Amino acid sequence: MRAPWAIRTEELTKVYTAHKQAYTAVHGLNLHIADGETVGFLGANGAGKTTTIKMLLHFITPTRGRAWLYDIPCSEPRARQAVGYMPEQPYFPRYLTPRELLHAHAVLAGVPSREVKHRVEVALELARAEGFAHRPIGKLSKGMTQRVALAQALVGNPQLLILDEPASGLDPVSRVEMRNVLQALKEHGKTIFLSSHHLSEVERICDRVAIIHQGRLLALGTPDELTRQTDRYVLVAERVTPGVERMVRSLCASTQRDGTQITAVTDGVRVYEVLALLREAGATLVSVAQQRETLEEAFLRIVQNAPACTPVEKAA
Amino acid sequence: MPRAFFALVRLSFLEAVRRQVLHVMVLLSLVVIAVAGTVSFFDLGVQVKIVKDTGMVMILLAGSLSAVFLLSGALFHDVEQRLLYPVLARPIPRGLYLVARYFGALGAVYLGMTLMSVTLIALLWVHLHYLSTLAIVAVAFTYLEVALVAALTLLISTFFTPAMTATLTLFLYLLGSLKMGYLHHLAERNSGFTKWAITAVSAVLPNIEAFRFKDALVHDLTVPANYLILVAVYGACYTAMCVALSIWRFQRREV
Repeated sequence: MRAPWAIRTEELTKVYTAHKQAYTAVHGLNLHIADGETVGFLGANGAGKTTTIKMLLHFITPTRGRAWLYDIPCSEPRARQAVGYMPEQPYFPRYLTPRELLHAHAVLAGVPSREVKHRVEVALELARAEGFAHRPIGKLSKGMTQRVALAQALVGNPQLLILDEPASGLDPVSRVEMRNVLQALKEHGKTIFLSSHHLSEVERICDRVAIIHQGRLLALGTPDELTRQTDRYVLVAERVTPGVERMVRSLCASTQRDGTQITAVTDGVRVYEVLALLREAGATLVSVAQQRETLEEAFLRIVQNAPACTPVEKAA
Repeated sequence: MPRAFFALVRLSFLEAVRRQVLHVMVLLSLVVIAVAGTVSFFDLGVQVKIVKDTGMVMILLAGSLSAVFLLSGALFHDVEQRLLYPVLARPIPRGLYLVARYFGALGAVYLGMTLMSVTLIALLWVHLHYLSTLAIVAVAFTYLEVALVAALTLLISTFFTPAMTATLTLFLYLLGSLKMGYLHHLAERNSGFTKWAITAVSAVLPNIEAFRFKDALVHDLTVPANYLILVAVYGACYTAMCVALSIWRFQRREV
């Protein structure tokens, strides 16, 4: 039976020392990520995301605290049996082709000999990298290399995917493709731990979101739990004459016409005035809805309201 | 685990055989051996000695320098270029990666040395009509010496940058190539701490000179089998110790 927690950390802390000064990169991180969950790991540059991932994969040793992958301490190589990892800036031997690289990684992941070829082809297909699987990696574009990196992470058919900025440097089309792949993996029940700067992507894919700032976990919850209702209302109306539209525009933060419909955004005070105006003008009200924060807005609010680290905390 | 090990050795080997430093060393040595074997200014006896001498020196130099240059930057390069991360994220111990890195690079060096050795032995046999078992033994011990130098480089590279590693290894290599008898003589001439320090240094330094059978080969001397076994065991133990210490150090290193 599989352990209930794919990732578990207790007071995970990493203190770096440089030029005789201590700096706490990750401070007492407590994370519990269930098997099958998709969790976004958000934070500004230097917030401690990559350091956390490095500790989970035992590239670096925690200064304090402990971490487990499927209940196996991270320090043990077998903890990584169920893991597929995609690094932030993937580098692979330039002379290998993606197929050769994946073959080697399938062997390293412990895939049985008779299944290696099949797993390589499945991973290439999932990451949509079959088209350039025979070309040396050194001759691939950044987007192609990202897909090879994803295929590399998938080749062992891992239950837990740790992805560090998988959409970094991708064009919009490739980013959508990457999101679709992740969505498909999520539907297959994989656990995904996704460190990303693309908040809209995280909002669409992730079940829960963890926000880390200056090494501290500030928030962990579903996007609905983290975002709040705003004081913005969106009204959609039809049969609005140009004269009435001008009056509506003077009461709203923004208006937009789409054929016979107008969409207006206003605040909680003026929404009643706009509604009265539309009613008097005989316009048809299609909908009125209170807007929620986007994840980006919630992220900025949470980070800006976070207590600043004192020098004592920094020195740990 | 053996499959993972061989997959890593293969990757390391493929990377090493692409390095220009290896190509240059091997080509240069092949040219020197070929020239020494084909251009004759002396009578046949002297010519054979010159070819044996030059050939052995070139195999040793090219092998040792290739090993130092290939391995001094291998780990540093893997960490700096982040090539290490996808591999270490697999369920394999770090020690396995390190040992595979060592054997892969050594395999590439041995490939070059084999080209040189085959050329040397073929020249001696076909062109100069000379063949001796000692030639093969001397070449074999050169392989062992290069394995030791490679292991020493690997160990030092777990502590220092490539330039520092290459410098330190070559320095230790030169020190180890000194006649051990000279160091013992030096120790006997001193007393107190100096004597202790020289004895300690001579004990820790690899006795590289012990692997050199060039003189015996050139002058057709006989080397006792017991001595050969002793040197082989010493070489294997020293190499294993260096690799073990490298693993110990690398397991504790943050990447």
